[in-house]
Amino acid sequence: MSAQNIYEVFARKNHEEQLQHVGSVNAPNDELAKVYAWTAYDEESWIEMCVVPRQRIVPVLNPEARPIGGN
Amino acid sequence: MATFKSAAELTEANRNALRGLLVALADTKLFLGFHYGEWTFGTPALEASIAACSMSQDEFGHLRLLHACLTTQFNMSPQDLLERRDFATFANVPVLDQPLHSWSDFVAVNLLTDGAMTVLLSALQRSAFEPVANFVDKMVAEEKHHVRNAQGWFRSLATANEQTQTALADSCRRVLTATLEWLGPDEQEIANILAGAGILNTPWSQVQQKFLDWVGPLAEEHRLGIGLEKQNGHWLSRRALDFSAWNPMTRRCVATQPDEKLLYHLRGSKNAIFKLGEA
Repeated sequence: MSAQNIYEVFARKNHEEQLQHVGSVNAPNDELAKVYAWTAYDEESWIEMCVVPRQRIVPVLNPEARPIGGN
Repeated sequence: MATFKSAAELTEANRNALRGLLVALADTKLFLGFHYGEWTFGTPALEASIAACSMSQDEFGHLRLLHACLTTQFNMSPQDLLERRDFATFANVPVLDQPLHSWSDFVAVNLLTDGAMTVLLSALQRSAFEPVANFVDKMVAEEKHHVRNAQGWFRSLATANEQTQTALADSCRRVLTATLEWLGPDEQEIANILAGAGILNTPWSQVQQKFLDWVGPLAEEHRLGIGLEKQNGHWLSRRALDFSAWNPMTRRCVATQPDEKLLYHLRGSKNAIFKLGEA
């Protein structure tokens, strides 16, 4: 089975808002990460949602710390 | 192309053909919703449980829209469609008659049966029958998440170990055969009538081919034998189904029917005394 990766989920409700971190999901690939993000965080009427593999996030401060909360 | 605001504007042949197709779609969505809901528990990952539960809600939402259309346009109430009905008349894809025992069965149904329904729903977009055209875009938009879920899991299982690949291929072959049985022969009166009136936006043979041409490359990408082969640029089933006894009302080649226990749960029979407004 493919390894599970952690994806951070970002979303916003309207164009005036900035994207904000809403949570994270575990998924073996980008395709399932998109589905899991949509089904797990569908409590709002988002106009935009995206996922980012946690391992691709480049920390600016405290590089030894985990980049974003969750999991 | 003329459009129709209600079933009263249709010819009797169009009305009967459309009613039959909508009932078959509703029956399939009823059982998809049930099986997805059952798989809220026992999935290989917590996120997969949430996705299964969410897809179940989508399917029951689509079922409500279809039942509402059948009620207002064809005078068939949800009680007629679910409770006051002979088991042998259900027109769902036959593989949904029984519980989905393994995760590979779930993934195969999600990909092939739900995928075939999505292709069919796409053929109903911009339908000349306005009550259907009004809700079908919403269904197609929601189904895109089901397709993503199915493709994501298909790819994950198809690239796992040999045991997993074998289980997936076995499930897919069985589900594909049942789904093609439901889709029926290339030439069928119901579909010809609906395409002729502009209620379907494409001939039935193209609906089937679009489905196979979407699934075939996915299986080929992972060298998974699910019973399809490519000929002259298009994908075909290796197994020719015998449609000589195909019943256009139940969309079955043989007189199978949903499991009695499964319908008992679906009808809420255990809690029948709590149903409001019923004697």
